[in-house]
Amino acid sequence: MKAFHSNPRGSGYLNRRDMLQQAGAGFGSLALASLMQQVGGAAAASDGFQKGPHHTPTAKSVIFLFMEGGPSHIDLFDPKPELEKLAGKPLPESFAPIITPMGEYDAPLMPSKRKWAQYGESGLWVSDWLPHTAEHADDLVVIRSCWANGLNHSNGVCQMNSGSILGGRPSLGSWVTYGLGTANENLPAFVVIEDGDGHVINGPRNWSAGFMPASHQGIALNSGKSPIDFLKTPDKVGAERQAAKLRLLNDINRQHQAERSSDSELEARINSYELAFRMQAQAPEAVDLSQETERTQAMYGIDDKETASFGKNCLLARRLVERGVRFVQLYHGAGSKWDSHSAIEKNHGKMCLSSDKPVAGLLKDLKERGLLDSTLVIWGGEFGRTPMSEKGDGRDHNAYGFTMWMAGGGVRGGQTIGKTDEIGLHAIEDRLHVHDLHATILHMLGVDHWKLVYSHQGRPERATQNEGNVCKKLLKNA
Amino acid sequence: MILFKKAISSLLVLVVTFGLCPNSSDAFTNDDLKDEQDAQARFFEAKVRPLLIDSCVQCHGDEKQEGGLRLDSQEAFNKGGESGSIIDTASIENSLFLSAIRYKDLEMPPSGQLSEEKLQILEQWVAEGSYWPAKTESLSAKRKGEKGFTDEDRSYWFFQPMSKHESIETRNGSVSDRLDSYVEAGLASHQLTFAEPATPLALVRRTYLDLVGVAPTSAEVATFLADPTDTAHSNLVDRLLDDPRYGERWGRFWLDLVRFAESDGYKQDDFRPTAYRYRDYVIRSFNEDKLYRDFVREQLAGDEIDPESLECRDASGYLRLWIYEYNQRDVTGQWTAILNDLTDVTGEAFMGLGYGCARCHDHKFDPLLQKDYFRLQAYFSGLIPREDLPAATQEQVERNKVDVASWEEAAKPFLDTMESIEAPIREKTIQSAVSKFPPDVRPALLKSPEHRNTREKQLAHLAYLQQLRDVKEIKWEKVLKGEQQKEWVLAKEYLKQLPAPKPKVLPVSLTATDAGTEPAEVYIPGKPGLGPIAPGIPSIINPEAMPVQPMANRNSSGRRLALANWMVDRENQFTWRVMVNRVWQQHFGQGIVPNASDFGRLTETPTHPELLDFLASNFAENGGRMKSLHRWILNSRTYRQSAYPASTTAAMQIDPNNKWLWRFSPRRLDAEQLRDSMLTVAGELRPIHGGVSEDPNKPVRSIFVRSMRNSQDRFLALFDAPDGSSSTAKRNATTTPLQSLMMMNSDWVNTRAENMAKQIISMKSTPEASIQEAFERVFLKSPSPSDIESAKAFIGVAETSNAPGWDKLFVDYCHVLINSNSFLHME
Repeated sequence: MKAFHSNPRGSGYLNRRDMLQQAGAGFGSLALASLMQQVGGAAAASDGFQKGPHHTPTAKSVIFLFMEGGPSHIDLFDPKPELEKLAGKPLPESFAPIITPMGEYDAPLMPSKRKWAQYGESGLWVSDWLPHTAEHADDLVVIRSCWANGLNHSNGVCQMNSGSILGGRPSLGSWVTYGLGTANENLPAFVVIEDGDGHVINGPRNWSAGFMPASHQGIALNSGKSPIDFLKTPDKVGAERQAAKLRLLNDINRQHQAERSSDSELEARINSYELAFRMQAQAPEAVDLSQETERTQAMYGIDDKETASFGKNCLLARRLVERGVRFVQLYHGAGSKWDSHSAIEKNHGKMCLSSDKPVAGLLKDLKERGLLDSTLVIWGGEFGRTPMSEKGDGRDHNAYGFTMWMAGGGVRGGQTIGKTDEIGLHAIEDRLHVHDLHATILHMLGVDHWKLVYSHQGRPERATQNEGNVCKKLLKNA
Repeated sequence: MILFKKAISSLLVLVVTFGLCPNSSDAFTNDDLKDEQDAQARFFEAKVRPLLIDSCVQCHGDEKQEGGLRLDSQEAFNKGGESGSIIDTASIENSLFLSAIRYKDLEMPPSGQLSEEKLQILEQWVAEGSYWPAKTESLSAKRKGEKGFTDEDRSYWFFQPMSKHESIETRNGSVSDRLDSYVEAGLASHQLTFAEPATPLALVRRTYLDLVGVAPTSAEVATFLADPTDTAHSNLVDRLLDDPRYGERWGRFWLDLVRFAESDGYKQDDFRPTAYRYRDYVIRSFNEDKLYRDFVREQLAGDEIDPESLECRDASGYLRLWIYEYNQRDVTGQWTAILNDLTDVTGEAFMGLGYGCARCHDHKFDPLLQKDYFRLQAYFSGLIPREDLPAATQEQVERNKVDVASWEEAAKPFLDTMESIEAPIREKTIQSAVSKFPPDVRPALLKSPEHRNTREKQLAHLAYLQQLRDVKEIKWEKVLKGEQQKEWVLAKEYLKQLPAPKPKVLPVSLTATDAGTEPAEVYIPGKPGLGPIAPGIPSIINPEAMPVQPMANRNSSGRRLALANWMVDRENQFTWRVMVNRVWQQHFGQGIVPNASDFGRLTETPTHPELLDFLASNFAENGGRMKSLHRWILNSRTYRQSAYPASTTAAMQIDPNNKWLWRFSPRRLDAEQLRDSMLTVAGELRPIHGGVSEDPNKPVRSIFVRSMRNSQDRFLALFDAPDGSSSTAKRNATTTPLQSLMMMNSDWVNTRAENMAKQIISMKSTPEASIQEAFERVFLKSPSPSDIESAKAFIGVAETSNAPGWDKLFVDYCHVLINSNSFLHME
């Protein structure tokens, strides 16, 4: 059973050494991609497992629009006229009861107050809360039958990221960078952007590399002068001085290296400083939105204070995928702001307003630039909400059935997949668990979730915990 | 005749395909094959039985009874399930059984419809009266027979006893010599040889970093170099093993292993104010050279060993290291997750077995059954978290009791007033909290505590923590109105004015005990037919349940102590090997077995199996004396080799990963070694040796930095320190540009450089002396003239080291030094 051998210094170390020896002294040409993963313990080809891609991808990048807190599917994409009839009544016995985290067990059913219409040639149903998104109906695959295991935010967000409700596993973005590396050696391959002042539930653990090397973790980005932490040279040092310091460091390290020429680790460290400063030069450019035209900015709603904040992040996401970043995760409502246990009208009204135009702008912009075909855009939260009311005018969490949508990147737009029951409580047809979603996302990136294996403590670990099926109905060419 | 031939060939197929033993009770002989009924029997045996076993019994057998239905015996088949009889004798064609397999009504089996051929077999069988042989054992039994252990399973090396070795000799040196001879034999068989000894400088720095976790100071190096004797290094080893910093280094890898952190995890990530006590227990145990035997027993069963001992109470903090969220209504799910987590970690950390793989199914590669997973879990099924045991000595507790009693006496009238006002509101709050739990949990919460069984106590405890929170959050000033409010406020005011202040509440231990002598029953999820599961070790070693006597005097099941005692038996084939290998891995960067927490078939076989058993049996011999093990290893030639031997070309070709130890494997400092060494060269490390954790910005050793699961210190995280989510047996060692950015640009590292420069300038007045001091602190040797020259070229010239401008540039110089490869790596 040697196949799963993984000494964290093992196979990666060897391959790198081989490569270095073959490359002679040409260290300077080493790409960040290989450096970022050099001590990965990754199962190399000789171990019987291939890192990706395993087949021709339909998407190069992913933009995951995470509506944190749980948007209400039955008020946005999954109309339930039956609820009108049952308004104010208790949950009929024909529906299996669920655990509601806030524990209002006898709360009456509450119909949606939204106006619904069908859009595009496909006639997708979208509520009046998302008029801009609705314009892209023919690009969207609306999956109405998602389900998950996490009943509360912490569990749910953790699972939507890592597949497990418990912490400790790598985030999906980490799996992608592990499997595919990066296409731009001067930028991180997996980037996370939180909106506003909020912080996502569980914090950076959501984009952690889990048991993988830290080099696969998501990097939090913000749109200031120092988009990545520690990117900026301290003011008191200044650029000129910094360069002098690096020269001295390089001299000292070269001298040290001379007596230890066989050690590629030392060489890698020297290179990591070089690459760090290439990153320092390029990252600020990548996040510089002033390079965008007024028209583009307006498309994202940056000219309107309601939509400016998330609009900027969506535009940033486009700039990043344009530059080869693999996996961009944008949180909207970071800190569970979509959570609406009471006053859902007010809450969702506000959340939809601030996100709808930026999201639609992103789809439009990607399309105009020909990027939508290679960029998979995913929209959704950690769960949906209950058809039962809470506190009279809110809704509790519902992980038993909820909606997500995908666009671009090889999905067959203009269709609805799956069904919830008549009141939107349980997913009942074409049920897609988080693991199925992850398997499908990886598939579009050219990764077979069965073949992408990371050997952890000698055991073959997979992104989908040995579960999950690719949902072929979603795909354009299946 | 034709019939007969057919029957024989069917029989052959049967034997080959399903391993049916011809001697078993339901085998049939030629004599049985003589009439019509025998034709049916043959048909059943050849066609129907395998089909039922393959397609039905998995969900309708002794393990699972989906829909209340079993299909593994005639009796069960005739009885039907929740939907009643599955054969309609009046109209066979309308039988539920047939409509289900035809996917008309139910769709069975759910994994996909049977092929046309298989459907026909079952249709024919039912049409002919659903014949079952009169004398046949349950079809479920047949399934299980397939799961038996193979000879290969039984002979796997890790399940064998440790090979016998002559007992430990009195002189330590001899153990080290034997160690070397095993390594040398491995080298020789690969045409390799030992490297030359490391230089004294490399060796002293290595030994410090390895044993106490920080680089030595130049004075410490000088002391070592000044000792010309042969025993200089072994003396150093002795000295460092007696240094309190030893435990602060070696406790760390154990904390990784048990996923130690000081916060709850999940959303709230609440701080655990007394979690540090477990950390200190671990550090103390290493420093005191506690026998590994006792270390294991105290963590798993401290409460059963001595409920009064604070040491044991701290040790049992092991049972509380799981992540947890108070705000979780699904208490059943949470308790399951907690027990699973504890089972996984215990299996990995103490036994080196990948139990986690067997939680949902029999282990795919190792002979660990799903049942074994729950046999291990059963040792913990009596557990209850405790929030009422003080983290204080008996004496402190007694004193506090007296103080509280005397205070309460003075306070009684006011306390009574407040209590009479608060009690009904509290009661209401608790009732409302109870109503928010799932209906199947509520009955347990409504029972009076003495009527709850252990399982109910466990769930009620998790629920209680939520109710407690609700009560604590009551804002009395707002809730109370009118007269009541006035009365309450007045009473509170009086309390404040009592002559003696209210005594401080004693800190509460983060620990656990059993809920009583009777543990909760353990069932395999979805397989109630197999339960309850009794505690036991891996079935391949002993399939019987472990007999455990409840400990009435401890009000405890005694199960955890029984497990711990089994683990630390001198002959145990797991415990000693696993621990010895972990220590070896810490010293050499790689274990004799590469996967330190899973010695199953997924790991490579040991490079030096005899050496592993030699060390493990010697380690076991004296109950696991850690410091002896270190001495055996560090006093060996193997350990003292150079990392960069003069000639490496051939060895690099033969063994690039240094599996056979032809040199010492150089490596990057880990997160704590690096952070702590930076504080050392900056001259600012504050020597604390335990107690409440500190902010990451404080200049204390990293092990004393507050470890929050959701907001791990950035520096430690970027250099691959684990976040306490799951057991870590071996850290990754990455090299990333983000580390370089942090090393160059972060405030934290820049501040170290500033403090280092400031301190040196205050000591050394001339620029040259300052440069020399900085150089020596980091590189532990004197700078050469050319080193001085290049430093001067970088900083510039000045009369004194505190000359304006020069001092700033000197900070940059120090900063460069602590970024250097020489400082970041050990060799």
